[in-house]
Amino acid sequence: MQKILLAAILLFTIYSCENDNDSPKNKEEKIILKTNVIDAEYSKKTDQLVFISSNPSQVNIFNSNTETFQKISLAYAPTCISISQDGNTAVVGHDGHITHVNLKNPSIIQTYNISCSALDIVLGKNRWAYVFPEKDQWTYIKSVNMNLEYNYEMPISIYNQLHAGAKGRLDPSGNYIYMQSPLSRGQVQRLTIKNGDIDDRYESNFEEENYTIPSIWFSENGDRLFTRERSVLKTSELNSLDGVYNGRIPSENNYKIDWLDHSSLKGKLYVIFSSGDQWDLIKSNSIYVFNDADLSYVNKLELEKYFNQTGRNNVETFDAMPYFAFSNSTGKNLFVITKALDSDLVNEWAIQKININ
Amino acid sequence: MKKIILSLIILSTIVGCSNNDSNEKNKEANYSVPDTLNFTIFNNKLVLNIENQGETALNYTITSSKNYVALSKKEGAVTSLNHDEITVTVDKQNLPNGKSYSKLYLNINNKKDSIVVSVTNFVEQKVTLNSDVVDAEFSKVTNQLVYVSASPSAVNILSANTGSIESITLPYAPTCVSISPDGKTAVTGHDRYISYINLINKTIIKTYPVSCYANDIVLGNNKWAYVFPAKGQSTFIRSINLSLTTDNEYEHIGERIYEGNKARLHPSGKYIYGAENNLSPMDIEKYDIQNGNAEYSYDSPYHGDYIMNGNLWFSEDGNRIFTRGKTVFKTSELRSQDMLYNGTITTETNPYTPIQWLDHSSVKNNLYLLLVADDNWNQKKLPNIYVYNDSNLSFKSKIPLEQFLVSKSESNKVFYDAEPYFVFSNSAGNNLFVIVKATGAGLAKEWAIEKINIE
Repeated sequence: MQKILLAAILLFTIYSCENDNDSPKNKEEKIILKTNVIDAEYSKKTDQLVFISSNPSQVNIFNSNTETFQKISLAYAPTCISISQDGNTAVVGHDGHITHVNLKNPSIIQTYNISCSALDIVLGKNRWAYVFPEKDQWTYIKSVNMNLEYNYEMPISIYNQLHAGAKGRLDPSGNYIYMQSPLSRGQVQRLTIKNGDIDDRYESNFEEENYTIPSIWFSENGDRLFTRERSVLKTSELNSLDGVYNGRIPSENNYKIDWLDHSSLKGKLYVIFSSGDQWDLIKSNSIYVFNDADLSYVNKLELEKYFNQTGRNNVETFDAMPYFAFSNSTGKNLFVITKALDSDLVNEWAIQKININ
Repeated sequence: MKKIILSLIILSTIVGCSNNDSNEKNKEANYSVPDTLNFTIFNNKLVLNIENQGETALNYTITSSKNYVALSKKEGAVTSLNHDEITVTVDKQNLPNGKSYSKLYLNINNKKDSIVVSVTNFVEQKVTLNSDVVDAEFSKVTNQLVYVSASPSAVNILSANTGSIESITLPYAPTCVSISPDGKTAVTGHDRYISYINLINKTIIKTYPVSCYANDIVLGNNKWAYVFPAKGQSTFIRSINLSLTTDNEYEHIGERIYEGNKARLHPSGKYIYGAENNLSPMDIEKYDIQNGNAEYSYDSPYHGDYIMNGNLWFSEDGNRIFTRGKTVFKTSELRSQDMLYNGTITTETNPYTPIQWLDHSSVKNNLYLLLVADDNWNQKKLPNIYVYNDSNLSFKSKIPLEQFLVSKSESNKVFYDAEPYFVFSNSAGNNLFVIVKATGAGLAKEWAIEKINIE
């Protein structure tokens, strides 16, 4: 009887040890993705994080409330995505095409041929899409009226000329696109799209101090615009008050902004920083938090590392590099798309959910 | 003998003073404490060290003369060659701006001592606005400051007497505002519209279409509004008869004006004077509005002789025009006497830099000026009100504006200059209201109104 008891205790101890060894893997809380991530947007209307992948080519819809996924297979490799203001549709850019998709009932609405490779895309009101070309130096934004069956790409005009590399974002009012030039001064321009096609533009006097990679993010109400160089500009319908310097997000190490999200409910800005240049970007491995009222620094949110069980007692860890961060409509959660740094993991992309108190 | 006694008294006083100046006091009990504790605007907590430099133990008690100074302990003992730390915390909430003094009283081994506590406090007195500021006017009849904002689009009414602010939402972003001479109504200009506003019951009376982008607007005391276009190069004033609901727009009579004019109603109510922009040289000109529709009268007798610089203000009685170029002109109903050079306001900036704004208080005989810095590329406004004597244009004084104190992190705060855009004196002349901006400070709400008392 004693021998049986001893054997039982021994078996129990061995099992306990094995469970202990496995604990890091079990604790990993991030949602591992089976795709890569090319571009992503978030709709606070539907609380859906929508990201595109090229491996495989699809639109991935992550419901942040239920934490479930849906997908729409794409005919071409996607390069960029933009969600409509109501969150029900999106438009995906490709090389020579754009695809209009239904996010409510995940399906393709229609694919359109366009005369460029899409670097960036903006979905406006009333089924208009605006494509920022990747190449050709001096070129034009392609305004696409997706209400038309034929001749849907609008002719060039004096208002939509730009230098390839410029990127834009829809102003929350839906009446304007703001874009930043890739040229040395990093000019910010406001394009009027109230009537569908771009029919007016205003260039602000603001100039970045250094060459920059065009990037624009908005505060939720669209009153402020944030650039990669940490510049903050006020926006306005009046030219005299539009694109006026408001301040700079502090960074002791002179980091650049790789991504920014604003939660007006929490009064916070969530920032992904990077250092280095466009050829050698080094991302911060945490999310920096600032007060929106005065741009003062609050704290850093650490990201969960990646774990790889290589043996019974061996676990490799990899830093998680953040690419996109989105606060949800209640401001209580932050969803961060991360990639494992320098890993040979099969699935290196993930979504991390961070609770915001 | 008296001189010797006097010298001895002076000597003993000097010696006494120099003793008081020492940072540390050596008492018979052989301890050391600081003379003063200085709390700057950035700190609320300091550590007070009581050092026992002798060979016997010290027993101490410590009390504060003021409630806003709190002590982590009120008594203690310090062994030989040791020290004790007391955390001193100040509650600045109810302290006035500037320095406040109090004392800490110590009893160390039955010897009395004291430490001066100096607390510097800074609480911004200006009122932060929830909007931007596009244009502003002040009515000395109603003592109301009326400013228009584009974000959000609204007419905002500050009662200078009560300090309350009420807003009227506008259908379009406003570009300019003008108050009627009786202070009861106003008009706002927009792109292709104007809105007629009732300032008493805070409502929009009517919004009218106009055929231009309103660069500036003037409301007469005849229920006509005069819109000065932003574009069109050689163009017309749009005279709008507000008594009519349709077909109420007229192009002014006579010589054309140029786009970008800034204009103001002469206190007589009979004329508007306009300042040219986007031309060289920039002149000033007069329009007669006695028949409703504006009629071009004439421009000044000068052509580049004096700097006008694109804007103008009147003395309260309307006898003088002050231009943005700092030159002063006399007005008259007679053309031969009208817009004649009267003098130049000499400022600390160079003669070619413009003034941002001017206000006249006849009660105080003061002119209040906002100046633009000597930098063509960065037209930053200097953070002061410059006061001049209205009778001879001589400089009287400079009133510094309260700065903005902005957090950079939990422990780091930075001051930013207030950049003034508009200044108005009230009817009694005892208050100035200054609309300022925290330029480049990174504030979501960067506009504010500062109230300044004038003796």
